[in-house]
Amino acid sequence: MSVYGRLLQVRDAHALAAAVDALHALGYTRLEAFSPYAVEGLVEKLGPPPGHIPLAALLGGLIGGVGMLWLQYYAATVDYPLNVGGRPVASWPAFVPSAIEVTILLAVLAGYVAYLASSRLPALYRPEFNVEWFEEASRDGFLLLIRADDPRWDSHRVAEDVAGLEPMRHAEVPA
Amino acid sequence: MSDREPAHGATPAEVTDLVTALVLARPSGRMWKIATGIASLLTALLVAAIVVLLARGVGIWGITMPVAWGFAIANYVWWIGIGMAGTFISAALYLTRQGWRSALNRFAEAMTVFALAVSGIFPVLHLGRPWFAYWLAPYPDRMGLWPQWRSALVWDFFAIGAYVIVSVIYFYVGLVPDFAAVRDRARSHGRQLIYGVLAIGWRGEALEWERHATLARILAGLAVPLVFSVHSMVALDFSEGLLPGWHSTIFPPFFVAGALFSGAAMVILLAVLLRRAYALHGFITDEHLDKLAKMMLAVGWVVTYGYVAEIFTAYYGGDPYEVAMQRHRQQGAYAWLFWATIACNSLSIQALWWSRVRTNPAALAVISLLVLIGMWLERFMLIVTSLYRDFLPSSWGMFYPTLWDAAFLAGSIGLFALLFLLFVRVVPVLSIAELRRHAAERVDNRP
Repeated sequence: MSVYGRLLQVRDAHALAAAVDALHALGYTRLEAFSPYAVEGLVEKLGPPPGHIPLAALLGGLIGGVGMLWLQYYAATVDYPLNVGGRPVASWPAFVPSAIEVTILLAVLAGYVAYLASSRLPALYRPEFNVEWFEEASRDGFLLLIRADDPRWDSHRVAEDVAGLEPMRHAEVPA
Repeated sequence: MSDREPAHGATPAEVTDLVTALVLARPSGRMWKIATGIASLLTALLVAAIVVLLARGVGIWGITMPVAWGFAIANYVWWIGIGMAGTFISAALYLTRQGWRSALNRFAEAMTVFALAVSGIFPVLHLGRPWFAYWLAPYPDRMGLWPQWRSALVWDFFAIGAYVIVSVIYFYVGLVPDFAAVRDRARSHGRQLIYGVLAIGWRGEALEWERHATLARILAGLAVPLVFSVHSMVALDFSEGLLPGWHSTIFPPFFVAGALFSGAAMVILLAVLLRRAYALHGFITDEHLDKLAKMMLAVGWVVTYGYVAEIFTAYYGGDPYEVAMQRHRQQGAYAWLFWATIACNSLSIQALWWSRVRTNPAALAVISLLVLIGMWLERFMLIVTSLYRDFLPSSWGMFYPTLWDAAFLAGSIGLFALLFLLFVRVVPVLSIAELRRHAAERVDNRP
């Protein structure tokens, strides 16, 4: 049976941060922390989050806005110019409303897609779900996972190190 | 984050258990069944009315020349306006760090999505040949035609389209951690499967939370200008026309305020009903009702300013057609509409100056209903009073609604109610993740 990692549960948010520090001190690097809400300061300990979501939203918005302005300009002046009493065909102020809406729409879509991709969602199967008490993480449990791809991974040593942290409970996560 | 929030006393575990139980145990009494029965009947009426309309055309409505816009456009503007409060409470109050919104934002967002769904029916049906609605979209068609980019109706198409998609994404993004909480509490295989799929594998990992917060901030920042632009577009449907009473620069802000006003009324009504039905007094407190009522009073004054500005501009500008329109509005055949609107929207809310009224659910429900009625009357009044007296007296004419007009209005209310009644049974009605965080802040900050 292959192993995905070892999961442990601690009492509260402070203990979770302390456990992360302790495991870092022991040399572990592939850690994941689970909590019912965002615990302040934890993200900095676990590595900087990739900041692609704002960039994706910006690019999506630019593409939406410029693209929509171009589409209207192309349609109204190149593909189907219509002379209405000599009024200018490139009547850009009238093109702004649609462009604003499409700017926001594509910014949101791009941001959402970037969010899903960076969080590797959707992924319906997660090895963590094999541990019965993992569901505590969506209630009031604070859980920590040491992944088996950690360079320091060794089943017996990890079990000993984790027991040394005196968690509420810990278990091996099958892959 | 120092959120100013009327505190609820529950711990994170209690919040999770209580709100997920509403979905999993589904406590529902006779009232839910009766309400759902009525809403289903009305929805069936709407479906039947739509079938008849597709078969016989928009002639089944009372619209004709000169009043070619009737109930359908009033319904559309009314429903889309109601949707605004959900986005405003979710996004604008999020950006301004009003923590108290956490008890309201979930059902307010649901209200937005459902109001938009109902709203979108009307402009499409009003096209006359709804099966050609896709002609509004720019695509390389074989007719070699493009949409008329300078038309407010095409702006509306993009505005509503963007608003619907963004609202659904916004609603769903906030729901994912809560669906995970329901998934983890569900004991039957079917529910584990359904909520498991809806939760798309959410684990509550630290970086997941961080990205989720980043996305929530971006969505909120984009939703606020979006919702203001959407209601401005709705107003431009009117003010891009040259009719007296419509062709006015006050219209976009006037419509934004009117939208928030009617939406706030609907949020108050739903809050009062929800907390009574599910005994949520610990979360939706009197303080919440008080703040919502203050919001409704404040924005109600902006709407009243709009009424005053319209009259003032007409007389100050001195355009004879504008002045005549105002006279017809206040003294003509539809004067009762104007004065009923003023009574509902400007006068009834003055009771909200008293804090005893602001924290009395029954009084708030009555005032909110009056505001909702008043805002529908206002939309109808704006449409009909500008149209029924044309520039030439030879083309003056009255509008008489048909039974089908009434069926569409009643049916749209039924559809909205049905969607909301189903929502409270299958989706967590409060934002578990946000309330959990507030509970935890209190616990973590204990001395």
